[in-house]
Amino acid sequence: MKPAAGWEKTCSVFIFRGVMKDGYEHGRQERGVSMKGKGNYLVIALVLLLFVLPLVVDSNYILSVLIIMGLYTIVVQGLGILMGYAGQVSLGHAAFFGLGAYSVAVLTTRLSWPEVFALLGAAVVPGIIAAVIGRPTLKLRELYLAMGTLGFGLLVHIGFNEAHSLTGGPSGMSGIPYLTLGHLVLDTDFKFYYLVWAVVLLVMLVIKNLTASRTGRALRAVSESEYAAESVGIDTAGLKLKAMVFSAVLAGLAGGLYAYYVTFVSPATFGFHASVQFVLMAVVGGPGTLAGPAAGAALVVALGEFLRWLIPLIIPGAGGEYEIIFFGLILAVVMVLCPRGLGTISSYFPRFSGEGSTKPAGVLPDIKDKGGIP
Amino acid sequence: MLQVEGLTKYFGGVAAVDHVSFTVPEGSIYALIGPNGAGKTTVFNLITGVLPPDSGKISLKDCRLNGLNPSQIAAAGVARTFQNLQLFGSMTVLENVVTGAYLRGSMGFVRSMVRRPGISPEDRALMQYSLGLLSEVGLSDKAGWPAGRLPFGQQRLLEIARALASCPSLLLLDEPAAGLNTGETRELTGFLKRLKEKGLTIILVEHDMDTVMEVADSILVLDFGRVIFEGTPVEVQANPEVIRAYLGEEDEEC
Ligand SMILES: Nc1ncnc2c1ncn2[C@@H]1O[C@H](COP(=O)(O)OP(=O)(O)O)[C@@H](O)[C@H]1O
Ligand SMILES: [Mg+2]
Repeated sequence: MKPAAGWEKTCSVFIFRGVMKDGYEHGRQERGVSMKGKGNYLVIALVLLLFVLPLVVDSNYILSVLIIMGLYTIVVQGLGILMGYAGQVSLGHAAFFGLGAYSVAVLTTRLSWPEVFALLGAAVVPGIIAAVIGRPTLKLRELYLAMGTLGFGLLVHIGFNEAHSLTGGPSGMSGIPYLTLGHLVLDTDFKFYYLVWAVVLLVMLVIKNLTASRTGRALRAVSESEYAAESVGIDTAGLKLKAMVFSAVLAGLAGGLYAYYVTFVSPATFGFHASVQFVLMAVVGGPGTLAGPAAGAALVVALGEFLRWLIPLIIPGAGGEYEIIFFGLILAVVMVLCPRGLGTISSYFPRFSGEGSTKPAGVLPDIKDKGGIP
Repeated sequence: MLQVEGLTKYFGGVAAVDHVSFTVPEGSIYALIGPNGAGKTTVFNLITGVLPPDSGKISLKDCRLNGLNPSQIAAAGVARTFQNLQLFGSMTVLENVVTGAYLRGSMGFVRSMVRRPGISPEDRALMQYSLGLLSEVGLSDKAGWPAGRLPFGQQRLLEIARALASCPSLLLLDEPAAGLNTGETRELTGFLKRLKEKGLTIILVEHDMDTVMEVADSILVLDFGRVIFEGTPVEVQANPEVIRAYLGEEDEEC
């Protein structure tokens, strides 16, 4: 077949869709063309906002919240690959996050490794553990996989508590040094903010590449039909394992950064609750979207902080359980309004998604009309 | 091309496939027919490694397929379609075919991540190639559609295009004409003939007798998992046992 003129344009439109579209059934393909320009402006605006924020916000509290959002975003980006693309759930990701944090704690305080190497360790150790437990665990499906990963998370959590000589037990480990990059000591929230969000952007870039590639398609294929994926030659077990390892590496990296940020680790941070939070962020954000993990992490963290401040004002003497009730209510409303997650929200506004999005999928326009297909 | 010897598969004490042997010559269209439940799909699942056989030997050219997993068998050159469609429903039509060409690409997990942003040259070439395939099955104007939204008949065609994308040497088609209207069935028949002319070997499971009789070089008739007859279309049509077991039921089934 002879490629017709305009071929490259068509191709980039398809790929762009592959990325933006999120891999789930919706009939909003057609936004591909018109989103491209506006989407880029939106991204540039957001990156600028991220860059400017610490310069105008003079509050360590807000900076610390933003840093935590960034760290969780890294975890949820990886979890999103596992859940949204490969279609596998994990209720044990806090364990990988914790393994990363403890790797930094142990390698710096007990073994006096240079900080940067310890951070590498924080990515590698959870990755290796994921590779080991992944094979048997990923044979499980759906609920059983959830139970399996949950069990793994609990085991690791127990390990943090019980391996006193290594982890300091329930009281944790303190005295973790600040991260030093060359001559730069990341000893303030201001500096750490830039590091964390630079890592977030880098991770997003890498994931954008991944999802718009042969491997990204294969991952989506696995989540849609393992039979069909196998039939076209995709080693589904191996690919799921790689997705698991990748998500563990990201969670570990975030955990390592977390340890350098708070310079103290204890088991309480890495329990079942945290694992559930990560899954929550992924689902609220929309697994399988690029912006979803950041949106999910931001919403869940911000909501938690906001309610902690707000609830005592409106219900004097209210305990933490009120926060949880409102937290749940608000997230439920979000999921009802935006069932595929916040990452797909732009498609709800025709202004951003191009005129096509209001058309039902059944009458998708002939792409030829848009100067497309040969 | 493909050699199957004594292939047997039991489901809970019942033989779904019972000592089935046949040889598919290279470049031919070999039809597998029989009433519903005769074991045709199970034969496909055994050849493609979806199910392990209880006994029997399967070899492609000189390569033994037993014990390989489905993705390895795909890599050995066997592609298939599914009777109950297994499209990647939320991907676009084009993405389905490009994913079908998975084996022709080389970008692994890490190389997919660490690369220049944008479309890789490899993907570009595969997309070009896939669009060519789509136009051969008449779907190029739907390339941007989500596959799940295609009409049923076109989903069947897309499955064939996806299977072809890996450039297989053996193609297994499980009831490709089911759900197609007369016009589509006629196009499919022509398409199968063209594939054969290009040298592709095809095993065809199909209930539509007109299609089978028109394209098949030889036909294997299964009933209750056993081979009851093998021969050319003319021989099959003339065989009383086949007519009793299968052709007699044709009206009921349709
Ligand atoms: N995975 C399975 N588990 C149990 N029984 C099966 C399975 N697949 C097929 N069967 C049974 O095997 C027999 C043959 O089925 P199948 O190969 O689908 O027939 P055909 O494709 O010729 O209609 C049927 O009785 C069916 O119920
Ligand atoms: Mg069948």
